[in-house]
Amino acid sequence: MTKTQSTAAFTGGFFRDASTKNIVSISSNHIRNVSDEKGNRWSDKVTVRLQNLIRLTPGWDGYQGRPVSFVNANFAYQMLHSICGPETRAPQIIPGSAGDLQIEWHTLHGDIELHVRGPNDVHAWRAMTGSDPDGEELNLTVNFVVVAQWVKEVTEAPIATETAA
Amino acid sequence: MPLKPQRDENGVVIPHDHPGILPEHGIIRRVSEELLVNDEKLAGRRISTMAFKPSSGDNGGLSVDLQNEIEKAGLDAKAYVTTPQWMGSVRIEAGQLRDEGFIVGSDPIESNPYHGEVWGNFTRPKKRRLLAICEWFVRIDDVAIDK
Repeated sequence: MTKTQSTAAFTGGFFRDASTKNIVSISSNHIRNVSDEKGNRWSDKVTVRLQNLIRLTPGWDGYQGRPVSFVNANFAYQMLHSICGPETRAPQIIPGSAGDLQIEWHTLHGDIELHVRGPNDVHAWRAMTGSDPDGEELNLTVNFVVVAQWVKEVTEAPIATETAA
Repeated sequence: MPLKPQRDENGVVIPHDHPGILPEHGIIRRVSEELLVNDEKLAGRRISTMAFKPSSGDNGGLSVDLQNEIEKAGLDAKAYVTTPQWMGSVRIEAGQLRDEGFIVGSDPIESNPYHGEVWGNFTRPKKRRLLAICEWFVRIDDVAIDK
C-alpha cells in the first residue's frame, strides 16, 4: 500500500532525531507517492552511502576536502523522497570538496546529475541518450517536479533489449 | 626557485596566472575512489564531473599539484601524488587549461608545498571539456575517462 509523503518533509528520513531548524521543507505540492521507507528500493543503500559520506576524513580528496555536511545529506535524502518512486534505482552519490554532494544516475537511457550545493540550492542536469550531449540544466529550490519526471524517464523506462530477451 | 604567489591581508593566495608555470608544465588532479561512478553505457566505472568541481573555499579554485615543482624538488611526481592513499590522478598541461579560459597559479600549503589552483568558470560544459582533454597520470585500473 502506498501513501503520500507527509507535508512535514523532515519528520522521517535520514536522521529522525536531528535538528533541522536551518532547513526549509520541500514543497509537498510536487512530490510523488511513495511507500514507507522500508518499501523503497533505494532507501537503505542511500542511507548507508550518506552516512559514510558525512564521516569522510578531512582531506579525503587528497587536498583539503571536507566531509559531506549533515544538512546537505539530510536535504538530499528528503529530496530523493520527493522525486523517487518506490521502484526507482538507487542513485550514486559523489561527495564534493566543500561539504556538498552530487546525486547521479547513469543508465542506458541517459544521465542525471543533481548537485546539492546546499539545502534548497540544487543544480540539476539531464541528458538523454542520443540527444544533445550538453543536455538541459536547471537551478532548483523547492519545486522538483521536473526532476521527478527526469528520474522516471532515465531509471524506470523499460529497456527494449531486455524486453525482447 | 619556488613559486611565490601574492597573498591578501588574510594570507589567502590571490587568484593569478603564474608566469613560472609554463604551457607544457603538467597540472595534476588527484582522483579519489569516492569520485568514481558506474555508467551502464560504458559497462564500467568512470570519473564523475565532481572531480573538476572547484572548492568553495577562500579563493574558490580547483586544487591541483604542480608537476614541475614536485620534480624540481627531486621527487617522483607519480609517487608524490599517490602517497599514501590517493589511488589515481589525471594530468592536463597548463597551456591546455589556459586555452580553455582558466588561469593556473601556485598556492603552497603546509601539507603540500607543490599545491596549486586552477581558477575560472567551471561550468558543466567546461568540466566535460576538462575530462575530454585530461589524460591519466596514475591510472586506476578498469576506470575510464568519459571522452
